[in-house]
Amino acid sequence: MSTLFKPFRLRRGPKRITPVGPAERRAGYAVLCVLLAVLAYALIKQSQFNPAVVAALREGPAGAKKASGATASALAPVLDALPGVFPLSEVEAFDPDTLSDKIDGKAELYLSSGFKEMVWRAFGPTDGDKARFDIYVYDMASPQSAFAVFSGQRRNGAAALGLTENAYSTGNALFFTVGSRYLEIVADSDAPAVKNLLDPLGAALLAKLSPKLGEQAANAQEGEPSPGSLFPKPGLIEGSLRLAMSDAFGLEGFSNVYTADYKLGDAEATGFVSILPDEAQAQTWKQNVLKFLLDNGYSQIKADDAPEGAVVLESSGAFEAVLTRGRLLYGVHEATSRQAAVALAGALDKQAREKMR
Amino acid sequence: MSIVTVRRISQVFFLALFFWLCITATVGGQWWQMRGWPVNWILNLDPLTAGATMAATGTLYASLLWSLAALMLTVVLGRFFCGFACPLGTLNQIFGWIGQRSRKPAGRIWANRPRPARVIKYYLLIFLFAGALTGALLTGIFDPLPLLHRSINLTLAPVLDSGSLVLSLKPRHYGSAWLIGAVLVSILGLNLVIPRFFCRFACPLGALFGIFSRFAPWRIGKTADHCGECTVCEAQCEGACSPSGTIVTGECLMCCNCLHRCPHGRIRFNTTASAGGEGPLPDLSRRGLVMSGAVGLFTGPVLRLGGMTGLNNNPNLIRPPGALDEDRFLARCIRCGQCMRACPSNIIQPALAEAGLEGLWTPAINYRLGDSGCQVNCITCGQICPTAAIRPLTLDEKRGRGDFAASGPIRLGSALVDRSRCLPWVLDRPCIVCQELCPVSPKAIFTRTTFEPIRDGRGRVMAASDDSLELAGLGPITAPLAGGDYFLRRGGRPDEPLRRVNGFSGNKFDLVKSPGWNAPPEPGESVDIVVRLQRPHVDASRCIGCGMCEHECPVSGLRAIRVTSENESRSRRGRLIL
Amino acid sequence: MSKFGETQPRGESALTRRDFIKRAAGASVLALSAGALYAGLYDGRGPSPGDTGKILTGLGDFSVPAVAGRMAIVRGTDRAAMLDRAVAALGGIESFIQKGDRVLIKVNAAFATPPSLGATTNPELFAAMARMCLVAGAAGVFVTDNPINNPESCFDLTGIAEAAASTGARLIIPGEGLFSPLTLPGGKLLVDWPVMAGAFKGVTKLIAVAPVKDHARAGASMILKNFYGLLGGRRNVFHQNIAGIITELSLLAKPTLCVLDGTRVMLTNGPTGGSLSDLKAADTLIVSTDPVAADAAGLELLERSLSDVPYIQMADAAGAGKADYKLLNPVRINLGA
Repeated sequence: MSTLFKPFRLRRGPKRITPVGPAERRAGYAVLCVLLAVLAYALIKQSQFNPAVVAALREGPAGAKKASGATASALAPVLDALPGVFPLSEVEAFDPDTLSDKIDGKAELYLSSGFKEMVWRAFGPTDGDKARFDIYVYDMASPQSAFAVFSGQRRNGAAALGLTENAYSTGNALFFTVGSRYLEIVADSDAPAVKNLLDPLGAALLAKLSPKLGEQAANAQEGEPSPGSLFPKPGLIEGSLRLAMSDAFGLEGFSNVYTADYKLGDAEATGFVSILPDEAQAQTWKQNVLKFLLDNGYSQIKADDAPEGAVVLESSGAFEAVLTRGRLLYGVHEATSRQAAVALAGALDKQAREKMR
Repeated sequence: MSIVTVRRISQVFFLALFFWLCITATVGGQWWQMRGWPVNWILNLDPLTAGATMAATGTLYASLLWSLAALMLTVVLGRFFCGFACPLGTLNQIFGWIGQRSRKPAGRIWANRPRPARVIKYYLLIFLFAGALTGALLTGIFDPLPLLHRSINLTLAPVLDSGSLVLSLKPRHYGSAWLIGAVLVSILGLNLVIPRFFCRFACPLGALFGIFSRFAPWRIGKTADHCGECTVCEAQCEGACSPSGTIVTGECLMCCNCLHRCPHGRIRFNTTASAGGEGPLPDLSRRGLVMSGAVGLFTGPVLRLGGMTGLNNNPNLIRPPGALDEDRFLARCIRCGQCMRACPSNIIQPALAEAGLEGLWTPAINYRLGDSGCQVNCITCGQICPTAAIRPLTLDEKRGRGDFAASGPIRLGSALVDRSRCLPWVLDRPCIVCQELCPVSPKAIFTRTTFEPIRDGRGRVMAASDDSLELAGLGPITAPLAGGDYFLRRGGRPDEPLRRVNGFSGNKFDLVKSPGWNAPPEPGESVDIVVRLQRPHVDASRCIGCGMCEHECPVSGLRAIRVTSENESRSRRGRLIL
Repeated sequence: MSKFGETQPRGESALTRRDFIKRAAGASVLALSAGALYAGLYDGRGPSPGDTGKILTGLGDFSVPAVAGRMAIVRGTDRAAMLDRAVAALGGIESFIQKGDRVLIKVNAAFATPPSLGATTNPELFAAMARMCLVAGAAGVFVTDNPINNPESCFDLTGIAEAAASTGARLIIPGEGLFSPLTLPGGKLLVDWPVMAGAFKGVTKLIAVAPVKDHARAGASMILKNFYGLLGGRRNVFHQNIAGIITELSLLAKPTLCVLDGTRVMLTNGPTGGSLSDLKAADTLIVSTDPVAADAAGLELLERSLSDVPYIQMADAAGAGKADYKLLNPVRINLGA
């Protein structure tokens, strides 16, 4: 019991009396050198990864819960090696049947826009703090399809990128199209060190996929004006160009409709353009759209200042306009004022006349 | 800087290094994970492991070459390893210090008195070597370095890590860890009675070092015989080697406490014998040594008489992938527990009785404990085994790819369906979890579909339409009929197709549109509700025994599909296909 | 001299120096022995997986390329002398067996019948071959077969056991532990089939010694059919496709030398024979490096043609040797018959 109250002493017995001689000191230093050598050895060895670690990092976590389907995808090599990162998983490929396994409900957007195949892989940075990049490469049926899914998910206020014609970035991610491919590079944080890796990744992927553009160019339709050019610039909200691959505005069968949002003074409006295969179809669809609007409570109003052949409709403060010119079917959707609807219709008409000459 | 200070630094260094290497034994690329850390370095320093495996296998496995350095230094300096390096020695010393603190000097001297029982470790060493010569490598049970690795990694580490989960994603489990923990507690606890209890009485590695320090030119001793007999050195001596009297240099642990504390500086490192007298080793009787050797030579063959390495092998003993055939395995395994520590699935467990007495604490796979089956892309256990009892496989060899395509993948055993417990076989419940999870391609588990009428599932048609049916006379039904596995079968009309039930309320069944029935059911016709059962079968020519199926089988007690050692790659005897 | 601090009293310095040197010497010896032991047993590669559970693809190629494509046909009655001359004509035993070789002699001991009935390899011929190998410096000579009847009685009655004992060759009795599964690449019959691979452990040369016999199913039983005795398991199933299995046997192992005993051929009622009248003295010994050619030459002693025995041409097509043995330009020797 009395031991509990003794003051704490590390030393047992009396203090050392005899001095430390030079030989003893030298021996001590020799031992310390050996210890340092051991430490150095351990630190050097730790950078040469054990083959088990290499295998685990290369091949990814347990193949157990993964489907035993093959990644026999032509796109998979694109995700082989990328700058500044190393793979955290194997490449996984998804077809129309399995796409929802990976992106769940969002699959609908892709499936209705001509989705063919998607490959995905997770990466981590080779240097610096732990982070994670998920890279998705969607192989769509055509450049239009790729644009459709690109524009359909475009985040508001995103900074446009010069990477490709269609590209933007948000705080932690990069989205862009290359030919008929749509790519997403999503990082798990917006830390600067992480963001700095996004651009090189985007550039590397662009370089890997660009050679394919040659084939895509051959597929591009002849003599077709680029959709973006059919929309007048004044009032156009940057980055609002979208492509609805099918069932635009809820009208069944109304496909390949480009829309762009406008701010005209205090009013807002959406312009739309659709390029039909021939004039007869353009006329047919004009009738379809008009019938659709009339069925849904719109009524035609007089509009003498609207361009020739335009039909302007209104329903409880929302204005619509529909015109055709040759193969083009275009007009205004959900304008908040009559003036805006008419003005935009006129601008679209002028644009169409110029481009379709 | 006194030698004792340096010794303390060295002990702390090695202990810290040991704990660090325990921490880093997790597969991964982060700095606190395995990367390239030499996790077996301390085990590789062990000449008892090297010598015993040389005796048992006739070869020195490459990485054990490090032990030559420890041995050479011992030949010149004496048991420096015990005093400066051994992490168990350091822990013993710490606990011994705790025990000594409360004692008066007389009590301390009593504790450090040389005791006759210190010869036990020499007899143990001879016994172990003789056993190793017969192929039974039992050194791992007593050798302090494997013992400490096993004890810390399999008991202390999982307990400490269960909250913070730094070392693994989920809390780890180790079968029979209680015994390993009990041994650790005993070894450390006995130091409170007599300091460095294990080192003095039981450590065969210490005995080996003691023997090899026989001719050390430099050793501790008195420089003059007329010392005041103050016995301060005795109170501090870690090795109980009586430095003030006839010092037994083979017992001296080089703690250098005596050198440090002698009030007159009469104890030094000398090239001459101690002035008070010197002896190389404690009194070993020749008879004792011969007896130990004889018992050792006898023990190995006796352990094998049970045939557990061959005819009478335990089919529930699944060894890790890359393990050698049992005879050679038991000649190499030092029971260090590294494979158990590093296995990412936590399925490698220390065997208690599964491998017989000789296989105590050797690795045995338990698919119920742990996170999954043996991951197909993991080669950790072989890469971490210090003696290649588990061969370091490449991924190609394990998967049977590339150069190894002809020999096929490494098989741990074969899964077999227990048809008396499997859900679709006996419980009328659809389940294909095992088939879904089988990771090989093409799968080693395939199903054959059958339709069985469910209990109380016979009814009579009351009303029928194209896509629905009303039945009467059904018993109470609890099965999820609209789940997609239930069909209606018309009794007496075997030509009509089965129609899947899409919805069910009361007695009304909504049926899937196609295939439809050719002739509508008549009122009063008998209809059975049948369940579609996909019954699993194992294709033994493809099964690699990875245990994913066993691990995930929903029959959680005695699994309905279990892996046993038949058809394991490492043993020719158990081949299923011939 | 002490290391730390105080010096020794003067008179003892010589003693302490001697003591130090003794200890240093002892320590050096200990250190060197330990070092030597480590170096001697050092194994950089680690243990092999063992021959457990692996499927072999062949038993080995024991042919000597330098002496490929040779044949000697000797007429005479003294088997040992004929063998001597034949081997000499092919280049001498040194061309085939070098010092240190471990030679496996595959005989036909399939039945427990006395040598006089000609159903098995003649023990004198085997003995002569074994002695020749030992004289050439072989480190060990082994003889084996997997008989149809009980092994011990087969080796006994055929005289092979005694011949082995007298020449110093070691008889390998087939046992379960010697068989390993084998799959012949491209084979249809030898798929995952047990073969006596254990007998080949450490073997560097293979010599086949067999008599010329009629065979009811195969047409003939000579060198190639002799390799049937390397199969285990329930091999009688192969009789349904006897030509196929012999063709695959021709690819199983490439022998160094083939000795086909045509001194007394079993002309009828093979393979067991039974009556001395089944035998005819053809007084010929065929020695060749090409087993297919040997069989083709032996066929003439049976007065059969290649079309009677399809397996020879099938083996040729498979690449095991030449059915047209004349292409080998056989050396013909006549020792008088």
